[in-house]
Amino acid sequence: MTDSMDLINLSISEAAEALQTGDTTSLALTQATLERIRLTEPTVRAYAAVPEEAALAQAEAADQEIAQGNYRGPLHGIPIGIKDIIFTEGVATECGSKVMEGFLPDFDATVVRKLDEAGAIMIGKTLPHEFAYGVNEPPTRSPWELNSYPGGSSTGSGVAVTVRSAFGALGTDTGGSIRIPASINNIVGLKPTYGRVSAYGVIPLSWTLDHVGPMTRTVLDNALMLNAIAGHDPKDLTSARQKVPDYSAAIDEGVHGMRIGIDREYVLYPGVIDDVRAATEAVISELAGMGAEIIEISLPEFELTPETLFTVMMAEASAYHRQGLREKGDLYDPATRATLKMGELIPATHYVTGLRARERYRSAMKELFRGEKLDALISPTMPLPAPRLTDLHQPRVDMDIGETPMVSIIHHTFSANLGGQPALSAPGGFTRDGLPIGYQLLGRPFDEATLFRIAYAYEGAHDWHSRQAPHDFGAP
Amino acid sequence: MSYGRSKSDLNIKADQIAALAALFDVDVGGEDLEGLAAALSNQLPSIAVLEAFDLEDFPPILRMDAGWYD
Repeated sequence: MTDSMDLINLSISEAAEALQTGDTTSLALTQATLERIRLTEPTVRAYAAVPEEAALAQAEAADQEIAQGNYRGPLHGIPIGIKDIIFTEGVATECGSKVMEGFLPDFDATVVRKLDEAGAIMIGKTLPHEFAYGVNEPPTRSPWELNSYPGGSSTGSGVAVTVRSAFGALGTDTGGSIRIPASINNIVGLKPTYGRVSAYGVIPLSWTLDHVGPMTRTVLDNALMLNAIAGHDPKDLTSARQKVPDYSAAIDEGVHGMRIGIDREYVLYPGVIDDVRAATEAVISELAGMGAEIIEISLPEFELTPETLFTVMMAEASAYHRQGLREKGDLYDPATRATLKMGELIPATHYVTGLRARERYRSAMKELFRGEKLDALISPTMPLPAPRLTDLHQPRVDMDIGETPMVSIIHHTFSANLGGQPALSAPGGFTRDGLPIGYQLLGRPFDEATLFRIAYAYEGAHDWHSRQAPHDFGAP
Repeated sequence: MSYGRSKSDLNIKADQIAALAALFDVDVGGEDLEGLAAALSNQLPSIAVLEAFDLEDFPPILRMDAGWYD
């Protein structure tokens, strides 16, 4: 297998199999990925840094180990991108910000160390919104439509995976920052349970809402990446001590008998456009056809999730950046700086009320899952496809309440961050204009395995996940 | 910059922001005052959405733990 296009189109599990059988090498995978990066970067700018020599050296070492019979597992020798708010020893970590320009961490984040132990190749650092806040405009462009929002804040991670300049990537998610770019870029993104994956060595946005998770082209790949990065970390005070199962073990057991809930009034509210509504209904019908039971539910507490999350997030983010704002305020992007300043003006009583509202939401969600014996909740990941960049902060013309596309796209994702439940976005079809539509599954805490089972069953019935962006980057 | 779902009737003035910012040692340049006033006018009323729910029996989450325990 020598054609570089063939190589970069492999999923992680397919590439792993090819490495084991000797059909390819890590060096060939890495060289093909670097070639792809050279071809795509002038257009999409997914990467902040690509430490080419280090990646090639890692690949050669991986090939040697595999040849000697020391195969570490399915990530061994596979090129993976790392969101650039995650510390990488000796490789610049700049958080998409001039504030961090030239910063070289002297240690790896725990997730990076775990990927390294699994034998993965760090192919590069992917561009985020500044400090993952989601208010500035990163230089990254969407290969699906260059003038549309590429998703964020794990912007570069989503784009790199979809254009095949990484086999998988790490993202972070405080309000949807893994799932939104996953949905926009037609890939799979998982926000694991809070505490499931260590956040040690990751620049915080909001300590109680931040999650680190995998972004991949297939559901199985996502499970394989989670296998490598999940687990307790004594260095992270918020890390959970729950046992880590093999997430790929029962992934093909189907959905027969599963109970999947939907709150139609909330998740199919008037802000959901027709194509997304139709795609979501089609996913639901198909899962029902596979033997899942669809349960109509109602959770009024969904209504308080945006205001609660914003109140908590803004206060925590401004607390983290309080010193930075005073010492290097002029280096922040004006939009980020203004939002951080606003966070300092939110009363402490509002923050504490937010924490109480959060407990009410979490309790209601727990009772709902237990009372209805639910395995998952389903919704669109976003009510609309990727908006045009120029429309992002303008009131939607199809709604009369002043809602902007930026507010719409986070309508369904916030709740999982407040409750800490796992949430997965996977490809669920396309609009008539050819833009990807994602659906979201929300699960019980520490039960990512059930979400993988559902998404794997659905993925097997479609080719959505293998469709690629129409942008032609030219021949290698 | 605003995250608010809809425009509110609260109308915070730029000079109020300037006074508050000075009190809290937040450096707000003149060019940012109007924008911050508008954004905060939109943000602060969101507390009403939270308080529309009965929070009497819900203490604040002070240490986040996603587990569901009895």
